[in-house]
Amino acid sequence: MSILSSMHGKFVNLPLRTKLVLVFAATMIMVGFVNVYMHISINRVVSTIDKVYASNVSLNQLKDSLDDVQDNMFRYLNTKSTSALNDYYLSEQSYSEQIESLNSRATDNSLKLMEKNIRSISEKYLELAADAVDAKRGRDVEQYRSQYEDASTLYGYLATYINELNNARFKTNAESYDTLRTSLGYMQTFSTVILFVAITGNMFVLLLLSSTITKPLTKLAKQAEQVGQGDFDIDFIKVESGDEVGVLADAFNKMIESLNEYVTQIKVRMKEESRLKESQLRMESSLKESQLIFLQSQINPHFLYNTLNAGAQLAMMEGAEKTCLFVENLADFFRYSVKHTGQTSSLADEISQVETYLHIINVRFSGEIHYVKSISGSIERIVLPGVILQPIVENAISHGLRDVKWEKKITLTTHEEDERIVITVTDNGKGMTQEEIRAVLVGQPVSIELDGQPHRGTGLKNVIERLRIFYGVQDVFEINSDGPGNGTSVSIIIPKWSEHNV
Amino acid sequence: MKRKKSNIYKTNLSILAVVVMAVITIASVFVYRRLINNAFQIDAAGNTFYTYHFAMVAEPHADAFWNKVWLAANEEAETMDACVEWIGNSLTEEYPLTDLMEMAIAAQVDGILVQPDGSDEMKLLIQQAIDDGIPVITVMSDSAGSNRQGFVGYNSYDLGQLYGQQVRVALSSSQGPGRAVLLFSNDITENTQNIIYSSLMESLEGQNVSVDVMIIDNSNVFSAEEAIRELVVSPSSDDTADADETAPDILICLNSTNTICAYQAVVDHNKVGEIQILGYYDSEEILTAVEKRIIQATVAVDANRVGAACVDALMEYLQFDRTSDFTPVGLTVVTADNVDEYRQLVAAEQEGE
Repeated sequence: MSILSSMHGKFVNLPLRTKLVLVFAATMIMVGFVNVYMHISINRVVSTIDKVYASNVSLNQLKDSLDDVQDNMFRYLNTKSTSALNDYYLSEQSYSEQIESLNSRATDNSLKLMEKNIRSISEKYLELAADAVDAKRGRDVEQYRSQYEDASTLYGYLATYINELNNARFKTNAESYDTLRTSLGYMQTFSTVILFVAITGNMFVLLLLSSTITKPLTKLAKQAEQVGQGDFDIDFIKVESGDEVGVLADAFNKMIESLNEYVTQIKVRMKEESRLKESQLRMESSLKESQLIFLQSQINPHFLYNTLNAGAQLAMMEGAEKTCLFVENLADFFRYSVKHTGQTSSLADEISQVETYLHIINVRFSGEIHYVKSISGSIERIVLPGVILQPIVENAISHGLRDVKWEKKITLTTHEEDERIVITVTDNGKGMTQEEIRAVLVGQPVSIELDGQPHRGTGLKNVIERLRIFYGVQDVFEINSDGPGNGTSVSIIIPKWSEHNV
Repeated sequence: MKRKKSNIYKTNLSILAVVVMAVITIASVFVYRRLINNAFQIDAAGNTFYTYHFAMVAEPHADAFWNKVWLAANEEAETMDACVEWIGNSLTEEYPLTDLMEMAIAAQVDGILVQPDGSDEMKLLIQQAIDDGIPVITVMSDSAGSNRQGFVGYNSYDLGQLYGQQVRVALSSSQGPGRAVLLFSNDITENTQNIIYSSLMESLEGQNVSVDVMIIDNSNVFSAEEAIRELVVSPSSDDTADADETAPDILICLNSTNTICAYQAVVDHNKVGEIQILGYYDSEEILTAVEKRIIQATVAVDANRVGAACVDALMEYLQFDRTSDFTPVGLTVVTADNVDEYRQLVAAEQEGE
C-alpha cells in the first residue's frame, strides 16, 4: 500500500499528457508484449514441427543412400563392372557423410538411441561392404560371399531401424500437430482474455481519470462565474494533482487571493482619503473660527461702545451737540452690527440701522446724500436675518453713488403685495448694465476699489445667500436698472407666509 | 474534504487497475507458458546423455517381469552414467533372440544383458560379442560353456525344490494320485530345464504324483496361450484312460505370461479348484489371483534386484575387468496366506528407493 501511495504521489503530479500517455502506454505495452510473446511461441512450435519434418525428409534420404550402397555393392559383386564400383564408392561416400549427422552418444531418448544404433550398425555395415568389395577384387569368392551375406543382414536391420525411426518421428509429428492445435486454442483463449482485460481496464481507467480531470474544471468554471458576478468570498478550489488542472486551479486561487487583496486595499485607501478630507475641512472651519475669535477679540465691542459713549458725553459737556450726536450714532451702529450679526432682527430695527449708517456717512460726506423713506404696513412684525439692509445701502453708496456729480439720493420703500412684502432700496447713481446685474446675481465677485483699497464684492452675495437660506426660497432678491446713469433699485422680496413673520 | 478523498481514491483506483491488468497479463502469460510446456513435449524427454550404452536382449516383449527388470536396470544405470536399451523393444517387427543379439553387437554397445535360449547360435554370438570387446552378462538362465562375464539369476535347483514343496501342499488337500504338468518355454535353456525338473522330481520322491513336462514353443506368437488353453479344456483324468490327454491337477508355470494364460484359461473354463496353478512372478494380476486362491502359489523373483545386479556386474567388469561369475537372486513363495505381507514388503521397498 505504501508503494501504491508513493506511486500515487508521483503519478498525481505528472502533467495530464504524460498521465494519459503513461496509462495507455502501459496497456498498449501489455498488449504488445502479449502479441510478441504469442509470435515467439507460435514460431517456436512451428520451428519444432519443421525440424521434425526436416528430420523425416533427411531419414528418407538416408534410406535412399543406404539402398544405393546396397544396390551398387550387389551390382559390383554380381558383375564386377567399373561403373558399379564407382557408383558404390560415390554412394558409400554420401552415406558416410549422412550418418555423421546422427547422434552418437548414449541417451535415455529412445529416438536418439535409435540414431546411435543406426550410426553404429551403419559403420559396421560399411566396413563389411568395403571388405566384400575388396574380397571381390581379390577374387576371394568364399570371403566376399559370406561378407555380403553379413552385410545384407545388417542392411536389413538398418532398413528396419530407419523405418522405425521414421515411423516414430511421424508419430511425434502427429502428436505435435495435436499440440499445435491445442496451443493455438490456448493462444486464442489467452489473447481474448488479455484483450478483454485490456479493453475493460482501459475503459475503467479512462472513466476514472477523465472524471478527476473534468470535475475540478467544472468546479473551477462555477467559481469563475461567481467571481465574475463580483463575489470574491469563495472557497479555494482544492486540487491535489500537480497536472495542468492543478496548475490552473492554483493560478485561479492566486488570482482570487490577489483580487481580494486589491479590493481591500482600495477600500482602505478610500476610507483614509475621506477621513483626510474630513479632517481638512474641520481644520479649515476651526481656522476660520479662530480667525473670527481673533478678530472679535481685537475689537472689544464694549470697550468701543463705552469709549464712544464717553466721547459723546465729552462732546455734550463741551456743548458740541453735532459731535455728540455723531458719536452716539457711531456707537449705536457698532452695537447693532455686533449684536445682530448671525441673529434675526425686525424690519424696523433694520431700517433704523440704515438710518444710523446714513447719518454717519452723511457726516463723512458732508450731508450730500439725501435719504427718503416710504413705509407702509407694520414693519415691526417682519423678521429678517440681522444686518441685511445696511450692506445693500452701503453697496448703493459705494457703487452707485460714487463719483456722481448730481444730487445723491437713496430711497427706501416697503410695501405689501398679495403674498409678499417688498423692500426696495433705490439710488439715483450711475446704474448697472444687464451683464453686471447678472454677474452680481450669480455671485461672481466684482472687482472694485473702495477707499483706495481693493474690495471684493462679496457683500451682496452673502446677503442673497442668507436670505435664501432663511426663507427657504430662491426668489428673494431683485436688481433693476434702466441702464447707465439711470440709477439702480435693489429689492428684497419676503414671502408673507414665512414662519419667521409674526 | 470528501471530494479530495474521492479524487485520491480514484487515482489510486486507476493505478490499481493498471497494476491489476499487468498482474493478470503476467499471470496469464505464466499460465499459458505452463499449458504450452505441458502440451508441448516434443523431444522434451531424453536429452540426458550417458557415457555407457548397454543393451538388454530378452525375448518376450510384453512380459511384465522383463519390463520391470529393464526399468530397474535403467534406474541403476542412470546413477552410473549409463543407460540400458531393450534392444528391439522400440521396433514393431519381432526379431528372434539371435537377431536381437546380432543387432546389439552391430550397434557396438558397451555391454549386453542377455537371457540366452540355450542354442548354439546364441553361444556363438556371445562369443562374437566378447571378441568384439563387449562384455556379456547372462540373466535368469545361463549359457553353459560360453565365455560370458557373469550370470545373474536364481538357483534352478532351489526353484525346483520350491515348486516341489508347493506340489506337496496341493496334493495334501486332494485324494488319489495327482498329475502335474511342468510348462517350459524355450526362454529357459535345456540345461536349466533339466536341473529344475530333476530338483522337482527329487522333492516329490515317494509322492503319488506324476509329472509331465510340456515345452511350449514360443517361436510362434500366441502359441503359449493356445497350448495352455488346450491343456486346460482336455477332459479330466476320471473320464479317459489315456493319462497323457487328460487335464492336469497341477499346472506349474515358469514365466509370468504362462502363469496368466493358465489362470485365465482356468477361470474361463470354470476349472477353478480342479486345476491348481503354481505360478511365477509377482505382477498385480498374479497377486490378485493368489489372493482369490485361483493361483495356489507363485514364486516371485525380485525383478528390481535382477536389473540392478546386471548393471552392477557390467559396470564392475568395465571398471575392474572382472566380475562375479554368478550373482544369485533370492526366490520368494507367495501364497494366499502371506500375500498381504508380501505386498507391504514390496511397497516398503519401493518407498525406500
